[in-house]
Amino acid sequence: MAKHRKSRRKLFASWAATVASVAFLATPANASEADDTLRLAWGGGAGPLETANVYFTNSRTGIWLAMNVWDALVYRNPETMQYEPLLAEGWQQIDDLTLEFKLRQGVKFHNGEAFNANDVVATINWAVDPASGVLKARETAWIDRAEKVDDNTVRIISKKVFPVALDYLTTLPIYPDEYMAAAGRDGMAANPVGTGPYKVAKLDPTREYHLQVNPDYSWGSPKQTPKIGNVIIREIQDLQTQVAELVSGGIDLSADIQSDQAAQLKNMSGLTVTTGETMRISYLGLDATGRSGDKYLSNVRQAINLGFNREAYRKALFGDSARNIHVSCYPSQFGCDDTNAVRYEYDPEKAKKLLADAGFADGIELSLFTVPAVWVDPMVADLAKIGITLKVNAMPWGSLSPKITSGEVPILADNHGSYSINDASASIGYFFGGGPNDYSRDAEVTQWLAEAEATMDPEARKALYAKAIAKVTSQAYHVPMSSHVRHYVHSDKLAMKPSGDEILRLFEYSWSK
Amino acid sequence: MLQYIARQTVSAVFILLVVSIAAFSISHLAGDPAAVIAGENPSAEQIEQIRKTYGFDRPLYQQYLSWMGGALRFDFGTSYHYHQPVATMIAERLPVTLVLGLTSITFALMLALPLGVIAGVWPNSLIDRIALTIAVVGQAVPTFWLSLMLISFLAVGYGLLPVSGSSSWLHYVMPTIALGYYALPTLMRVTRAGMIEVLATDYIRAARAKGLLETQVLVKHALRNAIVPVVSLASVQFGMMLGGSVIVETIFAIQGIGWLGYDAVLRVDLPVVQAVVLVVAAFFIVLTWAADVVNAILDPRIRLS
Repeated sequence: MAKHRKSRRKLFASWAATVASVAFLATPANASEADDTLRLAWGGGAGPLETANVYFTNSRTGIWLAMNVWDALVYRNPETMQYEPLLAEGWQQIDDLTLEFKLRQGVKFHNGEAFNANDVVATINWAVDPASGVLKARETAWIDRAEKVDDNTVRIISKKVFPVALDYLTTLPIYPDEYMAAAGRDGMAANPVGTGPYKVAKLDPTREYHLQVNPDYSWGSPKQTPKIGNVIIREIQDLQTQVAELVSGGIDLSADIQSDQAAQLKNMSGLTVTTGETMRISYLGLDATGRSGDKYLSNVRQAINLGFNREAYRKALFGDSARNIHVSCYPSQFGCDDTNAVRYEYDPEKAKKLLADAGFADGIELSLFTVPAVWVDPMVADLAKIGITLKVNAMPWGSLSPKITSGEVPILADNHGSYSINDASASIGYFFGGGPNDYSRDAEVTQWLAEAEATMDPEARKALYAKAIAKVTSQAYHVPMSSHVRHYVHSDKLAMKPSGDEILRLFEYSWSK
Repeated sequence: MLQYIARQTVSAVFILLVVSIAAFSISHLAGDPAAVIAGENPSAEQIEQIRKTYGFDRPLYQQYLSWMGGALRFDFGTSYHYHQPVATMIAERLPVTLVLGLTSITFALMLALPLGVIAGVWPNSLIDRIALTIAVVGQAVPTFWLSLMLISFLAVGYGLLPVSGSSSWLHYVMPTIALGYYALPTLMRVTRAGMIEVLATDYIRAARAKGLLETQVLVKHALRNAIVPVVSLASVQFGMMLGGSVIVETIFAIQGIGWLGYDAVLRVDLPVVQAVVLVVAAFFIVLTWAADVVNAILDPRIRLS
């Protein structure tokens, strides 16, 4: 399997080299600047956005569309990671369960409908109603209801104390209540309507979206008034096709390009590669309870951690823009402090000794599960040196997911983007909070994490996460690997900057002078 | 003739029934659909709820009968991933694949028939060697590689054609060449072999002895008989193009039915997988049926066999 992947990568790399050499015959057309239209492709590898009604998708491109077409009550500044007023002009915590928002006045939806408290109450109450079938259960599970106080004031009442409420509210776009009632779920998918900096002018589901600047977007939003008038987004699943479109000038931007191809495209005239670190992290989840049926794994977790050369892995895959991590969370997240983490620096000799002490001096074979997009070859090679043979089972997410849920997977190699939530509850809580992805099932850790999500006291939360981090790293429940980077390959006529949450903020982009 | 058509029709319906049972059963072996629909981080209660809501807790034969009942009304259920009626998704994507399939098979036949005839008339000549070289290369070159090379030179290198998409006829040129070239060698070889065999028969010698023009001998007498297996083969190739164009559709970002099936397999989107298999199989069976009928018209001996 690994050999097959390697040869395929080689083949693609050689093709990309051919394209690059042929491309010297051509220069990207960059016609886009002339007609003030940014052309970009997304969906590389992952496939197309399933619907433009963004409450019915968990795709990353759905988050991107939502950011540009809709607004939420609160905005998280991608540089400072501070919360700023968006559709709400201010808020206050009335009690542990109640947040009150004063709403902005003078905001209009793309169809001319005026924004007011009814829209917020209708959207939130619809989103939390299980009968609506929305796929944002993770983002809305904490909300009990929304209540209108007056035309410009709403209250959001939590089911329980929820310290991350503001962060989650940044992910919930507000829909126009009257249009939503008339158009329904399918109508909103066919003709999306928001208040955001861009409006959807035309769409061909799963193929193409045409956005136009919202001329009414001048009410002082912390998102900026767009500088580029039009955007055409194309769904192109094949990465090599995206590369060809970039090189031929068919598109101006792709955020899907892999490191090896980005390195080749960096030297091409007319193209620029902008690289930014993201919240996404790589990790190995190790079955610590024997649910998968593997009897030996629990004895060799520390050896796996010591036998993996994370420094070489990071450099080879992500370069200097990424960083090694020693706990499975992203450093900017609240509560992700690795001061108390047990660090496993690369030490193959010590790893071999631990294996020998565990009775595996002659080596051991373990099964690793992953999706084909995750590159596990360096891990396989590193562990082979200390006597651990990894049998790699690569399969599509649709087949892997049920195996994870039912606990059949002894070692999972995966990455996790925390749904762009800047809080350790979305990473440490996700991995060790007792859910299906919790391979450790450590009752003490689960209890601490539950407490951390049930108090509004920031210092108490930090202390609880610190305790959890100390325990999960000392027990080596995971192999934290590296943060990720995203490469934005774009026309050198386009000025853009990346953000840690991996969200394309098209309204910030401009044509460079 | 009517009896022959009726016999072929019964056989086609039976094959379709077997395919439908196989498609339904095999796709249910791919994993627990309730866990797939539930997405990441579901609780056991959520999975159980989904199982009941979608009827996955019913016996498999009951699920099959209700699915087949819907399929007969062109209702294939709702996609787990896209949350759209599967029939609508297929209706949106089928025209793209049909256009691509038709242009590709036309491209293949337009090259294969003349080349095959010429090679058959002058076997072992230079032109025959050239035709055979084209065939060998066509069989040896993987479709994905040819697609990438076409993009490299025609789109990236010389900017003559758009790289990907399906919004104009220009977008279909490279996919047509890539897909059509795959079918070309077999069609050409069969035409050539048929021509060589027919040209050696007594009735061709008799036709020439009667003083008919060589074009009349070749087109009216030789090609008409040599083309019988080509018709069957072309219909099979066309059917294969409908279901097997996934690579070309993915590379050229043409989201037809082949891509839809591939995407659905990756996402374990069972209603879409089942519907795509059934629709492609139905096309395949109808095409084969039509080829049998056309052949029976061309060669009356077939009806009696």
